[in-house]
Amino acid sequence: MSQLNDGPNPLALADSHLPSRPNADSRPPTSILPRSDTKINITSHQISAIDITESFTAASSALNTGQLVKDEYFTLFEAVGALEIMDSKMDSGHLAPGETLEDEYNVLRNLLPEEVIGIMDQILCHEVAWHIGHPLSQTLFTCLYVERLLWPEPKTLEEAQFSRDLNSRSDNPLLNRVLRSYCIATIKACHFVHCMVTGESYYEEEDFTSQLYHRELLPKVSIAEIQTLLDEALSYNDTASISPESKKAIEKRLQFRRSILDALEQDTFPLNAGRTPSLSCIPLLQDIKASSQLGKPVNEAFSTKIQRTLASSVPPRPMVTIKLSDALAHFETLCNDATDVGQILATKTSEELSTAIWVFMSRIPQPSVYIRALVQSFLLDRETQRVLGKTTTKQFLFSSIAAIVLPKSPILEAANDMVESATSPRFQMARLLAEFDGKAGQQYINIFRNACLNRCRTRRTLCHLVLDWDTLQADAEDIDGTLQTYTKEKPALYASHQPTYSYPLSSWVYHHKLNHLRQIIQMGFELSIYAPDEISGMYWFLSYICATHISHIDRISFFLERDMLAQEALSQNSDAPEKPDVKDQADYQKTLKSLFRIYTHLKATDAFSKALHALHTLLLRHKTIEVPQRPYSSDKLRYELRMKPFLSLNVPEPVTFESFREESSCTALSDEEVLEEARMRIGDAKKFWEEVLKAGWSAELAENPELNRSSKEGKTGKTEMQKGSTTIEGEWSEGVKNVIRACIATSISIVTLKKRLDETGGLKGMKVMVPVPGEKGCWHEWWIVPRVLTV
Amino acid sequence: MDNDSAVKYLESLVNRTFRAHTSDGRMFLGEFKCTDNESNIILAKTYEYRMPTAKAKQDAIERQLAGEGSGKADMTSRFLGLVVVPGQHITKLEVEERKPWELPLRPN
Repeated sequence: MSQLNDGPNPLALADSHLPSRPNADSRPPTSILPRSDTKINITSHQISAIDITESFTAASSALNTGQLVKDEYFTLFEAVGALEIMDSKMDSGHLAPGETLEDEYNVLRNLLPEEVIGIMDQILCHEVAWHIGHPLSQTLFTCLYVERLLWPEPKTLEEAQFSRDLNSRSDNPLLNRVLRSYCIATIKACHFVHCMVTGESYYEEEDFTSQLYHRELLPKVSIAEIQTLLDEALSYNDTASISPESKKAIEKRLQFRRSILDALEQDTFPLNAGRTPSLSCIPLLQDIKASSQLGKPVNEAFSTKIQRTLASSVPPRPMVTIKLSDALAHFETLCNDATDVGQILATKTSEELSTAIWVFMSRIPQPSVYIRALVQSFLLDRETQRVLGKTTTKQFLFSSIAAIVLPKSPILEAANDMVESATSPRFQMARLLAEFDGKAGQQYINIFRNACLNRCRTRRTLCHLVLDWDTLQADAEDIDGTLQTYTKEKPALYASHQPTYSYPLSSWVYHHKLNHLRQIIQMGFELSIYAPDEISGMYWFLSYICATHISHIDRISFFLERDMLAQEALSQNSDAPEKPDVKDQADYQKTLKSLFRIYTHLKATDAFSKALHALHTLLLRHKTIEVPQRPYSSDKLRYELRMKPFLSLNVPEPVTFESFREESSCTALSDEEVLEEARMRIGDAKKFWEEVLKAGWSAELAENPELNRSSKEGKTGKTEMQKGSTTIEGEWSEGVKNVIRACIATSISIVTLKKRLDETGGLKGMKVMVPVPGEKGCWHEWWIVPRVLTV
Repeated sequence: MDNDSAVKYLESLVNRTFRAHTSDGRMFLGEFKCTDNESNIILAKTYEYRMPTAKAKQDAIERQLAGEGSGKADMTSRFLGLVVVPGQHITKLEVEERKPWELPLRPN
């Protein structure tokens, strides 16, 4: 240290100030201009700087090659992430010799109307590029106009000007009114999108890049102020002396900004009755498209040099450009999807909600991250903690339990909560149910929220969720055990000679867990996770899960029917103190019907997966599906990998590799028997899927056609007029129809194979194609049907 | 300087705030974390400072001459995080030192 103290202090106490450490609120520091162009010394009252150039260089050169002096907590792993200064590939601030930091483009220059239109459309493209996941630094923040408005950070709307200097402010209204209001409205729209997405679950860089680089998107400016600006711009445009075509083009663009801002603002007030504002944007989008030829793009107004001034630790990256037609199509889908969210909100039961969300999120392309965040925000309002703005999570959970396992039970009675005597069984029931709610309430909502993630994440998270549900099932069993003592439930003989209890809560949990397992396998097909030679085994496993689920549903139905009969007997006994009315019976019937719907769906899935398992097995056996060479892998290891989510579960018991191999390869069956199995199963499958289709997407609606009609009319026909927008009900039917088409395709393949097998005794000369999801010939993403051709 | 005392000296600087001036006129202010025998230095929590551009300086001078401003021009800065400044580009290296508080003289 002595060297530091002994060295001459080079600091002349210049009049300059040490640049204060910048933070989001502070203005950039200032420095006094030097009299000459020599070095400037920067200092402040409390902090001084000591020149150590020489001593440091001397010391470091005394180190050996490869020797480092470092902070003991600093790891070389971290060092890899450091940006290398002066390396033009890494250092966004590096200037090539002769290059200037600032762009030559003069943002205050007068613009032609055509140029204004061109810039507006370029901005729109950048906005969409950001929506679909690119960082702002490569999209909207490349716009010099936007940069001028946002930096230095404006405190008020008035400050957000292309020039903060009053003297050099341009008086061109096309610039100051029209383009400025358009830019400001765009920035504010981005603010809404940013808040919505970052407020919910999303994956950075997979879905969306939230980085703002220490800029703010006018969070404090009110919508009303911006709408006024847009109105002023519109009224100027009315009177401006420009060509009528340009005038109209500008008008439509400003109106679009108005509408989209309205729509985005509406989304922040969840559950506003009529969710139609997004629709008004769609015709405007078409007008923008029609007039886009008028625009004259101004490429100089966009520059990646701005990245040099953004707070960011990433190397310089190129600008992202997307086509205007794609950008407009994105907005159109966004607006349609936003409107259709209304259909999710209109669902009445958790079963309907689940189907609606699942159908909606399976749309291709999947609804954008904004829409997925929007649905999440409705599912559970952060402030009120209400589900769809209506019920508490507890009520939501209980209504789902009632719908599947306990239509009429003292356990779920809301009045239990009012009992204050700790000795009362009802008090105890309420306590136990509250405990269950504590464990399951949030988990249950998470099922729905999970479906709003991107598809890969949905599957991945399901794999984690299923473990939680396994634990939850064990907890629920304990609670069920304690509940028995208060309900005085009598055991019954079911499927064994041991009397057993109904275990309603754990039954409910198990039902959902089995759903997760099925979805994990089926999404594996959708996401092309399995290799072609693994498909057969996975369909076998799918049918195994379905069979387990079917017997579980059977068990639930058994206890329900028992309770229903007991109730009936009670009502016929005139001495009974409390007479259950007819409505109770109806509740039982309703739940049994729901269970039957689930049962039919499972049967259909089971039969189809059995058919495809047999078909794929036969093709594998004859090596018409190729098994790749895998020098570093074994079937057992791969089995463990595929079964990873399932192997640690308590129930259903994991299948060992040996029994899996034996069951799934059907070694005991001849070719003809395997094919016959496939033929029978596919016949069943088609029949069951047709039943599923007939039963409709919602139990409520199937039961009550009145409701169905009114809900269609409720959408005011307007929705259906829009191209590309469909009802969730329609999409659901189309999905089931596609499964039926896949069944038919499977039948055709089976018939072709059978013919060849009968004729030649082998499969020589057959060509097999397995279309994967997204390819032509794949009818449904969950059903991988081989196409067999005779060559 | 022998290796031991060099290490001792450099270690005494670890985690101090450095100002590394580079050949292109920028200054990097951050916590000193690591160095090697080529004086490459790694700074954490770094801010980049850049002198006002020639045009900004000129504008400020003109404003001052016209009697409209104080002759100040904005020095731009931004946060970068973890950086490596290669030794060959360092023109000047400074370490910050906090001065002890000076109590204002109290009138008797």
